Amino acid sequence: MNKGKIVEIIGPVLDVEFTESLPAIYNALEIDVESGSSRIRLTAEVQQHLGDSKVRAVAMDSTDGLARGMEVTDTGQPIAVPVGQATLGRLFNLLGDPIDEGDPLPADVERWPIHRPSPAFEELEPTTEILETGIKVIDLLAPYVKGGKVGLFGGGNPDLYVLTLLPGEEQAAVRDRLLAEFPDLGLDVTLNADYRRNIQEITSQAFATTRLLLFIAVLVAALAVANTLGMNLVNRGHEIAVLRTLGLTRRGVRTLVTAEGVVVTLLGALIGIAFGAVLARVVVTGAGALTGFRLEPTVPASLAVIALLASPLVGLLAAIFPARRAARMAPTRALASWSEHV
Amino acid sequence: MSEARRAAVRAVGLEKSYQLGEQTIRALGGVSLTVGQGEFVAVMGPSGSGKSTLLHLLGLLDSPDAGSVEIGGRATAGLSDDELTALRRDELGFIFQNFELVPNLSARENVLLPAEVSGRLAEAERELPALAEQLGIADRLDHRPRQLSGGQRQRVALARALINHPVVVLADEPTGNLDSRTGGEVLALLRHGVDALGWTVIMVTHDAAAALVADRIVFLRDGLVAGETATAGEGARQRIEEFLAS
Repeated sequence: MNKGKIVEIIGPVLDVEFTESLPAIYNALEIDVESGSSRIRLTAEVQQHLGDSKVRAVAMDSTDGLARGMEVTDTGQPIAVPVGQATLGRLFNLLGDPIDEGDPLPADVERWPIHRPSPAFEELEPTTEILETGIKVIDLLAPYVKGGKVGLFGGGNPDLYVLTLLPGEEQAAVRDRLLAEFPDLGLDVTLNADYRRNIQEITSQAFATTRLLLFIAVLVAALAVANTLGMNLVNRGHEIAVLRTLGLTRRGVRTLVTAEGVVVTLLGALIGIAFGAVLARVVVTGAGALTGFRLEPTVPASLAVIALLASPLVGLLAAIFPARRAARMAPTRALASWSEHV
Repeated sequence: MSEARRAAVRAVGLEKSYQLGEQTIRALGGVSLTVGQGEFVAVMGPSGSGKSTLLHLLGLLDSPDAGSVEIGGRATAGLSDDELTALRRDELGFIFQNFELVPNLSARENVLLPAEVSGRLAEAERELPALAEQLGIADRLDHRPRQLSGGQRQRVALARALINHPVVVLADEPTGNLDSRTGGEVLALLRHGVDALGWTVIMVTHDAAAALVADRIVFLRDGLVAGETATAGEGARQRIEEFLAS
């Protein structure tokens, strides 16, 4: 066996001196030493030939406890991981060792080096096929191509599992059992009810901002009603003048225009609430179909009631100026010859 | 006109000017007019003679710069807008060239509108059948204005003008939108009302044939009374033609 000695350690980077022959780049180096009471087993990968019989290698795990002069063995080949049927359903670390506490792999399992040439062009599949994972979000939004490489989310991002309970199981009890069973995994178990509350909190925060938009919308609506009533007066000035000649007082005209504003806004609120309820149903149904979650629209009844009660008030305010203007219009406009001298 | 008859409308020295940009336009320059109860007076004059302004002032739709208007013996100077409105509602009846019925109310509702505003709806409802009979619209009361002919619409408008028993009916070109036959019918109705039922009518028109139906014609020109003539006797038509020609 080709053996060397560590000459320098900087973080995960090791420089090793080989006196017999230099290991090839990408070769795996193994360290297996007793250091005091503990035993250090470490694999490193050769990255660079430094000259002077030295190579530079990167350790695949912590270099804690290593010291200069420790013995390093060249395995003569790159890191090799198991492939084939035996690996299906198993979890491995980057060295190809099982980490799922399952049965050890059979000794004759086929291993392939992690560095090898790409398949030749004529070996490639000319068509692009999708690897169906059965996970909706991945297959729909970011499908994996067969034969392609994909990054797996790992490191700082926790993996997310959805547990489906057997009938008769208590959610809280299962959570407690999980936490007791795997205290080291840093599990974060969220019950449906809590998850639901979280989502609701997020959405209600989002809706809090829409309150402001709602207020602006009401303001715009009031201006629109005032404008409509005002425009209406241009067309109906004549009719109002006729009513004035027939004995309708200024107060009567004001009441007429104000009542119109109230009716318009009340109708608007009714139609708006109905339309909003339909729209919510459409959006929620669409979102449910996309995400696969079972969603249900809720109608904020109290808000609807407030809208219904407040809408006549908005109409009342919007009508103030148009009503005042209508009451001031000259009743002489009723007569056919009115335009002659104005 | 007999002196014993009380005046329905008395206007004395009416003056009215309008501001048109920089220009001041004198519409009336001192017009006096007395119309007795039960009298039918036509006011004639070319465009700009001031007849519309006179109608505005007599109808309490506008106030004069100088002069006074009495309706049924009651002075109107210095009254508030609400008081004028009430007076208009109770003592004056208007009919218009374009009828001016409220389109989405039935004929009955149109007629009863002024009575409803003045708070005597029940009484007016009792009187309505007789009035509708007199005006020949008894079988049309449940129709909408658009389902009525022009003549019928003007009769409905006349019923509306009369429903509150006004001292005087003010008519603004009442036949202007009617053909000569239906116009004649409306005029005959007014004539009959004055003769048989004691109505008082002031009618603004520039139709000589319409004016001849009245008892008396007052001519206006340039904001002043240019003359007047009784229609009884031979010379009336000639006087009208002279006036129009001059």
